[in-house]
Amino acid sequence: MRMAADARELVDEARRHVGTGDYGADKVGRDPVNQAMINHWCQALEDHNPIYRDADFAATTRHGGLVAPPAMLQTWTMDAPGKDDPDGPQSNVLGRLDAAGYTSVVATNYEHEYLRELRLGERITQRSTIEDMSEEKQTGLGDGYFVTTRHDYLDDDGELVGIGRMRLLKFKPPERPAGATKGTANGQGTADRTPRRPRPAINEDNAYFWEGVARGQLLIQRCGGCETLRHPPRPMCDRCQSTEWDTVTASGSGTVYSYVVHHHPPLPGVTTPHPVLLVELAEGVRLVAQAAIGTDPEDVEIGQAVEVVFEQIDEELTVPAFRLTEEAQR
Amino acid sequence: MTAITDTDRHRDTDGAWPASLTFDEIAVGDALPEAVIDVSTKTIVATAIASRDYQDVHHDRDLAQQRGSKDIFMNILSSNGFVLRFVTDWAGPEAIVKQANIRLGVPNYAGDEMRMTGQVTEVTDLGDEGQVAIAVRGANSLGDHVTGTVTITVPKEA
Repeated sequence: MRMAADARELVDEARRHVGTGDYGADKVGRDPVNQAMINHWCQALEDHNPIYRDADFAATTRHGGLVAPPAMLQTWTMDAPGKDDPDGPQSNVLGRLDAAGYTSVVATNYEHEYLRELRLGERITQRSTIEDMSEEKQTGLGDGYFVTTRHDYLDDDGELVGIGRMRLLKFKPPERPAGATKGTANGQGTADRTPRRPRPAINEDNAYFWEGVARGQLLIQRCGGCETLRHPPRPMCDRCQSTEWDTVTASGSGTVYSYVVHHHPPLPGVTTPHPVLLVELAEGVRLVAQAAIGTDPEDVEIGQAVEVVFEQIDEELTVPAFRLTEEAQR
Repeated sequence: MTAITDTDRHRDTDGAWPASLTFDEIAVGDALPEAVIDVSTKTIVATAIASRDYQDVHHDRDLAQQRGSKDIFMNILSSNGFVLRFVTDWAGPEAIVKQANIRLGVPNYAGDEMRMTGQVTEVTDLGDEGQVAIAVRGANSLGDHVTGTVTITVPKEA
């Protein structure tokens, strides 16, 4: 398993960057502590504490003037969207776990020591190091590694003003069910915005049927012992108990033996009202299939002659359907 | 007519900010007044961006779902912000936050709400001020989103 070996190598390489005390490059805040970002934060969190925004009031308190919300400590040095320090200890560890398939991340613990309050005009610098990385753990979210990052926050004079620790779980997202994602023209997987019709459950017994449909043929099972035709597909003849069988291609004509019209519940890939027919084929077996797309449910009657068509539901799914060929025989 | 800004909303009717708690007004076991945070898509996106956190799981539902989540969810900086807000809303503007240790549980997914409760667990007389530790819990419909301890200092006298 070459992939697995590569992944293990990446994880081992990531681990070599843990607990080294290597702080990597300084990350200097884009902007000094400023009122505009504080206002944005306070409005978003609806935090109306006046020490963050009312200078006259703040001057009368023991804060001695405006201060930044302490929880913004990390905000002052957050990166631009999509930007990452390529050589930092975080990239060395988290980037390699990404490459090893542990692409998802959630924070599990967050610890802050606020050594002093921050004031307008100060520029904050952050240094980070990876303190700890666990063995691989199975979690409710998926398998992954807990990684503890320590951030030191320094002021303009290089004095420590705050310490942060964040514990992250880097994990493999569970496999999505088939059909949940699909390729796009540019080759990238993307979430499917429109849910599609459920796929048929194809197994060893019924695979012939869907392979036939894909070729535009309606195949019926024929017993290898007594030559009785049967549908739906099953492994054994209920007449002679033979498990030998082959198939014949149906002519595709038949009559409506019974039908229902599906109105509710809504189903992805199905337009309602949706007539569903029990068709008795000329060969004598019956099968359930939808009416051809566009069939008016009002026109469907028992005894009516029908003929098979193959409807393409989406780029991967074709289903047999029956169109009405003449008036019902009353 | 003077424009009403959001900083005015919590002022008392006479225009003053609410008084802060002093150390002698706080005892171990005191419960903080409950608060409910509306965890809407808007809240999650606004607070993530206000904290400059552009991870896609905090603003892009499709990508969040591809990564195994049922919807976008609140980022940790904001959860920490709401925890500290909950404490300082109770203690008042004289409080100084010294430490916050929070543990994240179930995500705060869009469309939920977070009910915040808290209790004083420790009071320490530091001489010219008092130190208070508060256990905080923020629970949503799935369980505990955040649990942790916040340590503040408060004045001895008003």
